[in-house]
Amino acid sequence: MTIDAREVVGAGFPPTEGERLAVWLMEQGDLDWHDLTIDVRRCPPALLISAFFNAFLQKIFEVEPARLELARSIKWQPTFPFQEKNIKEWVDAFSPFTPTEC
Amino acid sequence: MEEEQFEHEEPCDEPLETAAPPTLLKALNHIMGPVLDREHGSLLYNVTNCRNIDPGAVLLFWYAFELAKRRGRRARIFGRGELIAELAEHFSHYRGDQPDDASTTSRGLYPLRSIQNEESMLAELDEWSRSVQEGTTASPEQVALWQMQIAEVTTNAFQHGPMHKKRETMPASIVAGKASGQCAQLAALDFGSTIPRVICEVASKHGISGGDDSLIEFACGKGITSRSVRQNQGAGLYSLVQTVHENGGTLQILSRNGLVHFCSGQVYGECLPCRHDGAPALDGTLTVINLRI
Repeated sequence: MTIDAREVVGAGFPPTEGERLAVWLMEQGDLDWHDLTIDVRRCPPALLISAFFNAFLQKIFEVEPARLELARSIKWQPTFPFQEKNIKEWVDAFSPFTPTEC
Repeated sequence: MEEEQFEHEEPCDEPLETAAPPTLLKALNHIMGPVLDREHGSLLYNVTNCRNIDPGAVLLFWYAFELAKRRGRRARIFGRGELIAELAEHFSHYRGDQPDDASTTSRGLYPLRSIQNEESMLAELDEWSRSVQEGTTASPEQVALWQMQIAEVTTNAFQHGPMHKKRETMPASIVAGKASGQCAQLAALDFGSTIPRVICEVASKHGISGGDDSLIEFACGKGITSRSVRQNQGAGLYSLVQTVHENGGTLQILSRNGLVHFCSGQVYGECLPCRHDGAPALDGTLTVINLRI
């Protein structure tokens, strides 16, 4: 299934929008995360930064930690090849913050 | 009509540019020096014989004027021709007298503005991308890449935003840019906690010692983060440095007393002295990105 991210997120602060997308996804009870593509081609390039994806993954980790690895396997569909490369790098490298790191 | 009298005239016969350390230091001293090092008197910057004022220098002028105003001092810029017209355009845009229009964009000018809050950040960066698109032959992919990188910088500025006492009186950040022919410059000045202040604790754990320039260089490394924002992974500054390197452009970061210059895969750092009253060289962070089209 493919979701158009622009239907869910706005053009606000990237970390806030990343969290918004995570919350929305977790609220969709019948969504199969094993076969999920998020189309971000209509999102502004300035939104698709590391802070957006980090906030997205962190939120999932905080609310449903068991889903973090599944969230890493979500396919992202951006406009440009550099975006695809960046997203993969950020998602792979993401290490959730846990309170013990304080 | 009464003629205005200024106690200190600062003639400037050289370009005020911020793309390389020697010129940035000259611009910093010329623009900020009179406001910070002299406590009294009105100031007149005479730029009649100055050949260029780049967007980074425009931000320094804004800051100098802001500080002068707060100290009850008058400051003016005097000049003529296209240079002063462009400077006037920057400042009237900042004041809201002149909205963005097609002529500004088509000349590749991204006039001075403040990014007051997180919500307006993307819209302002979109405006910059339009000026680059109109003013140069950059491809949509190049512009999108730069937009992304600049958003990394401005997002950082908000995340490590102005300290409480500054927050009430200063904008989170101000930006200006210009794109023409083979290059585009975007300069951003934020009044956040400064990079050295944010990263010093982590740097110390990594055994990094040295001045503010060393701390900034350390902060630009892969995976380096203070984690003061819980989810941050240290990807933003690192990827900006990589992009500038791959583009063949330059990046200058002046934060507190540290000045770091990235160019052609090389890094140059310098630790600047404090002002005479013990204040840092810049109580904020100036980032100047120069990209090749």
